[in-house]
Amino acid sequence: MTITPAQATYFGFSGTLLFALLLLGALTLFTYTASRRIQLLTLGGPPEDRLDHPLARLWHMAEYGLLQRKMFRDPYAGLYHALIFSGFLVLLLRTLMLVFEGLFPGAGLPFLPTGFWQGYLLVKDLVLVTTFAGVVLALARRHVAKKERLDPSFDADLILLLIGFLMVTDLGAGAAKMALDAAKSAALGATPSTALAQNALWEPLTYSLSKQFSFLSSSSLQAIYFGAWWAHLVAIFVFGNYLPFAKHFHVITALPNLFFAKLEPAGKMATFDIERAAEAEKFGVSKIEDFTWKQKLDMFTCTECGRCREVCPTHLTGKPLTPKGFMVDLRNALYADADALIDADAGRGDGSAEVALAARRPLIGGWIDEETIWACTTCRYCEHACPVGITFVDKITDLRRHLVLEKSSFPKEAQTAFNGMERQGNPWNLAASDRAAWTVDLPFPVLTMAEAADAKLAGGVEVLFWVGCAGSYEERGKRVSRSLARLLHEAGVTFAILGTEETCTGDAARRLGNEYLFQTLARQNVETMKGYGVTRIVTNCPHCFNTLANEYPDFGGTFEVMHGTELVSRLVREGRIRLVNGEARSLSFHDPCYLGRHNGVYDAPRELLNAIPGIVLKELPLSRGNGMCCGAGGGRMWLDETIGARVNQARFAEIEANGTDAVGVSCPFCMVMLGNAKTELAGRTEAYDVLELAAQALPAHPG
Amino acid sequence: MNHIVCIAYVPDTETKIRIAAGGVSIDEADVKWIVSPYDEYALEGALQMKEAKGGTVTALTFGPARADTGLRECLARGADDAIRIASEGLGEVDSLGVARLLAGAIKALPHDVVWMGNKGVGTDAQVLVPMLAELLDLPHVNLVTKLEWKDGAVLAYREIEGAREIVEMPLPGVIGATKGLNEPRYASLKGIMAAKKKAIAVKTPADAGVDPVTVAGEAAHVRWTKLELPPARQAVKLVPGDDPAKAATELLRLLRDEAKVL
Repeated sequence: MTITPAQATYFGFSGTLLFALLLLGALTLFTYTASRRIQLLTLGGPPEDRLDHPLARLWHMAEYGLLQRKMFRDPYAGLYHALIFSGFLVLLLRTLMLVFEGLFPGAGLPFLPTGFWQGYLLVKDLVLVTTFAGVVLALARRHVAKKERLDPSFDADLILLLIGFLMVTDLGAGAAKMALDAAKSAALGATPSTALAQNALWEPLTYSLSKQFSFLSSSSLQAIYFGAWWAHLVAIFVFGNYLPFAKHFHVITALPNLFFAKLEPAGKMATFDIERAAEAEKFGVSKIEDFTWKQKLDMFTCTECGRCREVCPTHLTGKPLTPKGFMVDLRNALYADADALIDADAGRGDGSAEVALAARRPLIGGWIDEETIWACTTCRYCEHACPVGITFVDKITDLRRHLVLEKSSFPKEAQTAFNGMERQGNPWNLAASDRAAWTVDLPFPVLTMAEAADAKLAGGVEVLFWVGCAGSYEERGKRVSRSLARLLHEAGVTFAILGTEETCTGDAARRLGNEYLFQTLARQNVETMKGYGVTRIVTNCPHCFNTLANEYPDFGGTFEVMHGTELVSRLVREGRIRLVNGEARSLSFHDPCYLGRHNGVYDAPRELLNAIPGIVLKELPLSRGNGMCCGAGGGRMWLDETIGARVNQARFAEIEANGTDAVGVSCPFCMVMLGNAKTELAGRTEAYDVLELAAQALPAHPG
Repeated sequence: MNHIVCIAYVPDTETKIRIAAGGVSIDEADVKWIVSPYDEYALEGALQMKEAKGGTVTALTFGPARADTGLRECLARGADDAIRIASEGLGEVDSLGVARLLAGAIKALPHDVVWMGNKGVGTDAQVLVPMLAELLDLPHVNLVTKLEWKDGAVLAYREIEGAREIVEMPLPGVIGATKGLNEPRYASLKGIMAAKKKAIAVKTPADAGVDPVTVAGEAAHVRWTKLELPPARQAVKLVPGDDPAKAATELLRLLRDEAKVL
C-alpha cells in the first residue's frame, strides 16, 4: 500500500510532525491577524445593534450570500463567481479531509458512512475542474474582455492564480497517488482490484488524469504525489493568511456583512441624539475610527468589483467620487493606521501610538477630498448594485455631518438653502406666507387642516395632501400640485393641506449633513400633523415621501404615506377616476431615485401611465433599479455643479436617445433637472409629471 | 483688539409686509426675524479679525426680548459676549435715539473697532454709522467692501459711484460693512450648543447712561405718520417681435400713451 506524504519522514523528521507544526503556525498567524482585524473593527465609533430579526437576517444572507442573487445581473461574472464559490463550499470539506489525513495518516475518514465519502469524492472531482474553469473565465474577463468596472489588480491575479494552483495541486496529487497505487498493484501482478475500479467510478476525472501519468516511474509518481500534496496544503495556508490583507477578505466577511445588513428602509438615515453628541462635542465622522463596526465591516468586505460605479452619476460625469474608489480609500485609511489605532485603543505602550495618530494623514482632505464628499447625489445606485451589501450613502452623509455641524464647512450655495429652510420653511427662501398660493387658480376650494377642523366635515379629512416646497413654490411643481388636487377632487376624496403650517420636511438639509436643521423641521411638522390627528398622507414629492414615511417615525410621527401615483392609480383601479382623454404618444419614464430604489415604488407610476389613453410606454435602457439619477438628490439640487459633465444632461441625453415623444417623471426635482437639461442642450423631449398627464386625461366637465 | 458689533434684529427680507391697524407700523404676526444681512457682514469681519489677531467680539443690540434670538445667533457664530439694551415700554425711538443708546453702552466697554452694517433692513434709514461715530467721537468709514489691517489703523476700500475709494482710518473707529466684504459664516452646531450656555446681558437705557424720556416718544425727531404698501405689480405686457419695425412702434406707443414714461 502506498504511504501518504504525512507518513513519510523528511530529513529524519516525521511528516506528521512537520505537518502539525505547519498547521499550528498557519492557525496561529491567522488567529493573530483575525483578532487584530476584529479589534480594528470594534474600536471607536458609536454602538450599533445588528442582531435584531435574526431570521430575516439569515434569509437575507442566504438570498444574497449563498444564492448570490445580485451576482447574476452580470451573467458572465455570475457564472464564473458561482463556479469558484461553489468550489470553495465543496472544497472546504476537502481541506478538512486533508488536514485530518496530515494529522492522522492512514486512519481513514471518521464519522460518516463510506457511501457519503464516495459521493463527496465524485462531487469534489467535478468541482476541482469547474473551479479551475471559473478561474480561467475570471482571468479572461480581467485580461481579455477588460470590463470597464474592473481595474488592473495584482491582488486579483495573485488570488486567481493561487486558486488555480490549489486546483491543479489537488488534482495532481490525487492523480499521481492513483497512478502510483495502480503501478504498485500491477507490479504485484494482481488483477485490477475493485479499489481501482471504484476510482474510475467515484473520481473519474482524477482517474483519467492518472492514466496519463502511467508512463512515469514509481519514484517520479511518488515525488509528484508528495510534492503536490505538500504544495497544496502550504498554498491553502498561504491563501488563508493572505485573505485578510487583500480585497479577497470578502471570502470571509461577505456572509457576515450580509447577515448584519441594514433591515430598515433603505432611504432612512440614522438619527443621532444631538444633545448627547453635544456633550461629547462630536458630530458626524471626522476620523476613520468614528465609523461604526458595521461601517468598517463594509470597508473590509469591498471586493473592488466596480459594479457600484457602472451607473453612478458622479463617475459617469467625471467627478472625483466613485463609490469603489471611496470605499477603497476608506479602507486604506483604516489599514494605514491600524496598529496605532489598536495600540491607542488598548492604552498600551509608551504613547507613541497617540503621537502617530496625531500626526497621521487626515481622513477629510487627506484620504477623501471635500469635493468627493459633496459630489454624491445619494441616488443609492451603488448600494443597489453591490453584491455584498455595502452601503455608501451613510458614510458620505456622516462625513457631511461633521463638515456642517462641527466645521461649518460646505459649498456656500448650501447656506442659501439652509437659511431659506430655517427662516421661510423652504429652500427657495420664498415667503412662508405664500405656501398655499398654488391653489388660487383651482375651480374648487382647497381646505387647510385648520379650516377643515373648523368646518367639522362629516367623515373628516380622508387624507392630508402634503404639497412640499417644490409643489408650493416652483412654477411647474405648482401645476403638478393642481393636477393632484383635481384628481383627488374628481375622485371625491376629502383631502386638505396644511397650508402655511406646512414647512420643508428637511430632506435636503439632512442629506447635506445639517441634522440639526432637519430635526428642528421634523419635530415641528410631526407636532403640527399630530395636532390634527393626521393618519394618512399623500405627496407627489418622493423626497418628502421618503422622509415622511421612513424618517419621521423616529420623531414620533408614524403615518400611512402614499405617493401621488400610488393613490391615483388605486383610485383609477377602483373606478373612482375615469381617464378618457388622451392623444397617441410614446413616452419614456424616468424613475426617481427616492421613489424607486429608496422605496421600491416602480409599478405605480407605470400602472397609471398605462391607464391613460394613447400613451405607449417605452422603457429607458437604464430604468427601475438601474435608473440613472437626474443629479438633484442628496441636496445637490441646491449646489452648483462645476466638475465634469452635468448629471442632468447625461441623463437627458439617454432619454433623447430613447426616441420617445415625451418623458414622464414623478418627482419635482427630476422635472426641474430634466427641464433645465432640455433648455441647456436645446433638446426635444419634453418632461411631464405622470399626474399632469393623468389630470389631462380627465373627462371635460361642462362649465 | 476688542470688537463691538451692533446688530439690528429685523423682519426677514422675504417677509410679505402687512401694515398693522393704525397705519403707522407693520403687522408683526407671522413675521420671521433675522439679524440684518448687512450686520452679518460686520459680525463676520469682526470674527475674522479676532481669529487672526485675537481679542474679543461683543454683539450689541437695542430691541425687545425677541432680539435675544439674534444675539444668540451671533454667539453661535463665535461672538464672546452679547448685550441687549431693552426697548420694552419705551415707545417709538428714532435713529438718533438708537445711536445714543448704543453709544452709551459702547462707552462702558473697551472698544478698538465698532462694527455695524451700513444699514439695517428694517426702517432702512442708513444713518446709524455716522451718528454713532459722532456720539463716540470716533472716525468712521462706511460702505466698506474690503479691509487691510495696519498697526493702529485700517485701510478701508469703499465702492463709490464709478470708482473705488481707499481710506486710511486710525483706530479706534467705526466701520460700516456692506455686501462684498465677506461671506458670512453659518453657525456650526458646536457653536449653537456652546451659545446656549452663554448668558445675554440685558441692560436698561439708564445702564447705557440715557434717560428714556430724552430719546422716546415726544423726544424723537422722526416719527412715522403713515405707512403704505407699493402698488401691486401689473401683469407683464409682451409685444410680439415677428416684425421688428412694427414691434418698435407698438412699444413706443405703449410707453408714451399707456405707461406715460416718455
